[in-house]
Amino acid sequence: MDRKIILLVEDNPDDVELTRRAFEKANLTNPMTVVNDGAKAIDYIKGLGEFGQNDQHRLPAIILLDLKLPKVDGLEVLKEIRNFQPTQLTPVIILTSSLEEQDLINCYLNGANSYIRKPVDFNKFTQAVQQLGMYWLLLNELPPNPES
Amino acid sequence: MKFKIPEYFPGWKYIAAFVFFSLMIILLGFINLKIQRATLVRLTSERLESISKYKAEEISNWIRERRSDANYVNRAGNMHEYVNRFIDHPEREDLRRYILDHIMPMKDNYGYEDILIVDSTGKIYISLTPLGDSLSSDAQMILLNSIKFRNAKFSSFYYCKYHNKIHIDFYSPVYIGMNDSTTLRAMLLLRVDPSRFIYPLIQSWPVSSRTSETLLVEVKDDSVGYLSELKHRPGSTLRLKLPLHNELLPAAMAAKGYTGFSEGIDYRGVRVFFYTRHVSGTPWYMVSKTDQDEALEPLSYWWGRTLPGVLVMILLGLLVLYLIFLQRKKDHFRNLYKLESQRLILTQHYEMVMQRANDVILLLDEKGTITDCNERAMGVYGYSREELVGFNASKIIAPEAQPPYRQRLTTEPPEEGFLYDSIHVKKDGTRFPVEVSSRVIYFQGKKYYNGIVRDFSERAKYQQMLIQERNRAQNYLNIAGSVIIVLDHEGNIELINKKGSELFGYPQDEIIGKSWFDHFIPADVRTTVREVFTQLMSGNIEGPEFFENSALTATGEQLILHWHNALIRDENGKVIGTISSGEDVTVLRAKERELERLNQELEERVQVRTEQLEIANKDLESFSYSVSHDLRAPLRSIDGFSLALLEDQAEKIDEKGRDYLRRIRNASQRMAQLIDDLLRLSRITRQSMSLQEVNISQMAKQICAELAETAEYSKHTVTIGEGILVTADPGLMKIALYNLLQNAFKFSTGVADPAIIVDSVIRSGVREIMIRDNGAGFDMRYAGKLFGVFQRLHTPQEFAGTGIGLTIVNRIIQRHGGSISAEAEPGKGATFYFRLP
Repeated sequence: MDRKIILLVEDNPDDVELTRRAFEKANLTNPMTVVNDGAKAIDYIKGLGEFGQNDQHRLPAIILLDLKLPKVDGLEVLKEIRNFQPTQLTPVIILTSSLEEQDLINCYLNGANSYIRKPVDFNKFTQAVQQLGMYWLLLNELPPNPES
Repeated sequence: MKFKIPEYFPGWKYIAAFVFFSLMIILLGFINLKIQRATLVRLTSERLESISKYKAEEISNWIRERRSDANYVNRAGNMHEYVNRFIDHPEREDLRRYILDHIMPMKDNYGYEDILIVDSTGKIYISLTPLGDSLSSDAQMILLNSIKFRNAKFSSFYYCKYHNKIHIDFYSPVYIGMNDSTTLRAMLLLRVDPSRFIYPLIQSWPVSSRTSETLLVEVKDDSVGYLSELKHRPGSTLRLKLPLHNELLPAAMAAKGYTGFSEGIDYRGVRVFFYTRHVSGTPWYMVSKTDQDEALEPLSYWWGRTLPGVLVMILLGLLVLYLIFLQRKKDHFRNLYKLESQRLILTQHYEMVMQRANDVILLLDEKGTITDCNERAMGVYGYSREELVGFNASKIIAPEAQPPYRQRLTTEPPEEGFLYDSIHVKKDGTRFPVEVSSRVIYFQGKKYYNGIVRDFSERAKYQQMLIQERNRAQNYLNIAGSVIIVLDHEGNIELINKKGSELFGYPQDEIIGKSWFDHFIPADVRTTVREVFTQLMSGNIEGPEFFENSALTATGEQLILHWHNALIRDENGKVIGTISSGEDVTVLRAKERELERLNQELEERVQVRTEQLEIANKDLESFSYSVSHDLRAPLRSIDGFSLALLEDQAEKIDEKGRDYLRRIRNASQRMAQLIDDLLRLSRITRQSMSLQEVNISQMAKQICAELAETAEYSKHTVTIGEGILVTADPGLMKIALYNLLQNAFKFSTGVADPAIIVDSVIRSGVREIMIRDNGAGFDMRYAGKLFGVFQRLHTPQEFAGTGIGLTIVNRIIQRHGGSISAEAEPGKGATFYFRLP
C-alpha cells in the first residue's frame, strides 16, 4: 500500500529543513514532496510543466501551504487547488508566520482546512507538527482518492 | 360770361369711357356691314357663275348641232355630185329640183331661215327666200382665199342689209370630184335667225331681276364688239364697240380671256358685279352681270335696322353719363351740406371753449397787438373788451417780464409752441404769476399768436408751503445716523440726507437729480441692479426688504451698504420710487470674509493632513504585514537550528557552548515576542472605531473573572462600581481595560491581601474611571516613562512583560480623545485614571 504523500509548498529552505526535522522528530515518515514557489505548486497539482512527463508524481494526501510565496502567493494557490476537481477535497493546512486577521479570514473563506502559525520556539513547532500529522494523517478519514 | 366746369361734372374718365363705348358700337356696326356685303357679293358671284356656265354650254351645244346639220346636208346622198353638176348646168331643172327636195325639209324641220348654195366666186345658185342675198364677210373671206376645210364652219353674227336683220351662217364645202382633195367648187350655207333661239337664250334670266343680263362679245381689232341685244340700250346690237384696254369694262375683261368674277363699270357707266368666260367652240365671250345696286340692295334694308340700334345704344350711353352726372351732383351738395353743418358745430364749440374757458385766451397779431380775447380775460385783467382789443399785449405784462416776451416775439417759434412762466399786471396794478402756453397759427396768410394764460397765484402759495415742509423733513433726515435715499421711477436721486452725502463725498445738492445707477453703482453690476430696479418699478417683482450691495463714493472707493427698502406708491397704488436706509457695513463684511477665508484655509489644511495620514496608515499597514511574515522567519531558523545543534551535536559542545545556544534561543524567542507586541500596538492604531455605549462595570467584571481563573490571581479581592457607562469602541475599550486590570493583578500578586477597585470618580470636576491596586506601585519620578513603548519600571525578574501594555492602553484612550494618568508610591499600590470625552 502506498504511503500518503505530503506536499510542502515553502520557499524558505531553512523552513523546509526545519519542517522535515519536525516531521522526523514527530515520527511521521510519509514521503514529502517540496515545491518552492506558488507556480510550481499549481504545476505539480495539475501535472503541468516539469511535472507533466513525470509519471511518478502522485496527488498528495495533504498539502502544507505557506502564504508568502514567490510568483504566485499562497492564497492564489489555495484557490487553484479548490477549483481543480481532483484536489478540491484534499486537506490544505496553511503553515505561515503571519497572524494577520485578513489572512486568516481569506484562507478559511477559500476553503483552507486548518491555519497554523509557525512558532519561533522550535520545540513548540515540533509539537504542532506532531499534533497536525497525528490528526490529518492518522486520525482523520481522508476523502476518497479520485485516482484509485 | 365765363363758363366754369362744375366740380361735380363727371370726370374725363367717364367721358372717355362713353366715347370709347360709342366708337365700339359704330365699329361693330361697320364690321357687320362689311360681313353682310361680303356675303351678298359671294352669293352674287355664285349665281352669276352658274348662270354663265349654263348659258355658255347651251350656246356651245347649239353651235355644234348646227354645224353637224350643215355637214349632214352636204354629205347626204349624192348631194356633192348634184351640186357639182348643177353649177355646171344651172339650167337643169331636174338637178335643181333634186337639190331643193333635199334641202327643203331641213329648212322646215330645223327652223333655218334660209339654205343657200353658192359657187366659189360667191354667186348664189340656190336660195330659199325670194329677196336678194348677201354673204357674211367670213364666208366671203374663205371663198376669196380658197381656204380648204372639211368640217362645217360658221360665221359670227352679221347684219344683212337685204333682210335688215342679223344672221349667222353655217357653211359646208363642196369640192370637185369625190375625193375632196381638189378645188373648192361650192358651199352649202345654212342661215340662222339668231332672234329665234340664241338671242332669247342669252337674254333670258332664271330669276326676276331688274338689272341682270348676259352678253356675248367678240374682239374686233382693238375694241370689243357687243353681239347680243343690250338690256339697257335697245337697238345697239352689233353697233356698239368699246375700247379693249378699259380695265373696268366687263366686256373688255371677257374679250381679253379673263374667266371669273369681278367688279367693274359697264357700258352705261354703272357699277356692276360680273362673271366672264369664253364660250367653247366659238370666238365669243360671255359676260353675265348684275348692277351692284341691285345685288347689294339687302344692305340698305340692314342699314334701316342696324343704324337705329346703334343710335339707341349711343343714346343709352349718354343717358348713363347723365345719370352719373346727376348722382355726382347730388353727392357734391350732400357733402357740402355735411361740411357746412360740421363747420357750424365746430364754430359753436369754439365759441363755447373760447368764452367759457377758465383760462384767459388771447389772440395776438405779429406785432403783439391783441386782436381777440375771451370773457375770462376781461374778468382777470379788469379791462373791458374794447380796452383790450387793439392794444399791445405789453400793457398786461409786468416790466421785468417784458424783455423775454419781446425776444419770443422776434424768434422763430418752435413747432410745439412756447410754455413759460411770467408775471402779468391787472388794470388796478395788481401783479400775479401766470403760466403762458403760446402757439403760432397762420390764418389767411397772416401770423398770429394764440396765448392761453393761467393765473397760478394759488398754486405758487402751495408750492412755497410744500418747499417749507420738505425742508423740515430734510432736517429730520439729516440728523439720522443711516444713509437715507429716495429714488424716483427712473432711478434718479430725489432726496438724500446729510449722512448719505457725507458718506459718498458729494455736496447734497450735487447728488439730487443724478442717476443712482450711473454714479453710485459699480459698472460691473450696474446693468443687473438697474434691471432689478426696473422690474421693481413695473411691479413685476416684490423687492427684498433687506439687501446688500456695493456703492461707489466720490473718491472711487467701493463701500458695502446694508439696505432697508420700502416702495413709494402713488394714490393709485402704482410704484413710483423707493425709499431706502443704508448702513455702511464695509469693514464688518471685510472681517467676515477674512474669517471665512481662514476657516476655508484651515479646512483645506486638515483635508491635506488627513490625506497624508491615510497614506501613512497604508504604508504602516503594509509594513506591519511584511514584518509579521518576514521578520519572524529568521528567528525561527536561529531558534530551530540552535536547538538542532543542542540535540544533535550536544557531545561536541561543552557546557558553556550549550549555555550560549540556550541564550541565543531565549533572545530569539524574546524578539519574536517584541515583534508581536509591536504589531499589536500598530493594529490598535490602525483599527477603525465605532462608538457606542459601553458598560464598563460589566466589562470589568467579565475580565476579572477570566483573569481570576489563573491560580496566582485567585486570591485577589475585586470591587467594581455599578453602572459605569461610557461611549467608546467596545473592542478597543476591552483591550485597554484588560491590560489595566491584568497589570493590577500582576503587580499586586506579591502582597498579603491583594485588592483591586474599579470605579468612577470626579477629579477636578471631570468624571474619570479609576483602577486601583495595592501592589508594588512605582516611583512617581519615573511616571513620565510609564506609557512609552517597551518602557518598564520593574525588571523581568520582578515582573514578566515587554512593556507594551500601558502603551496600548494610552493609545486607545488617546484615540478616543481622552487622557490617562497614574498616581503611585512604591510598595503602596498604583491608581490609574482615564477620562473619555
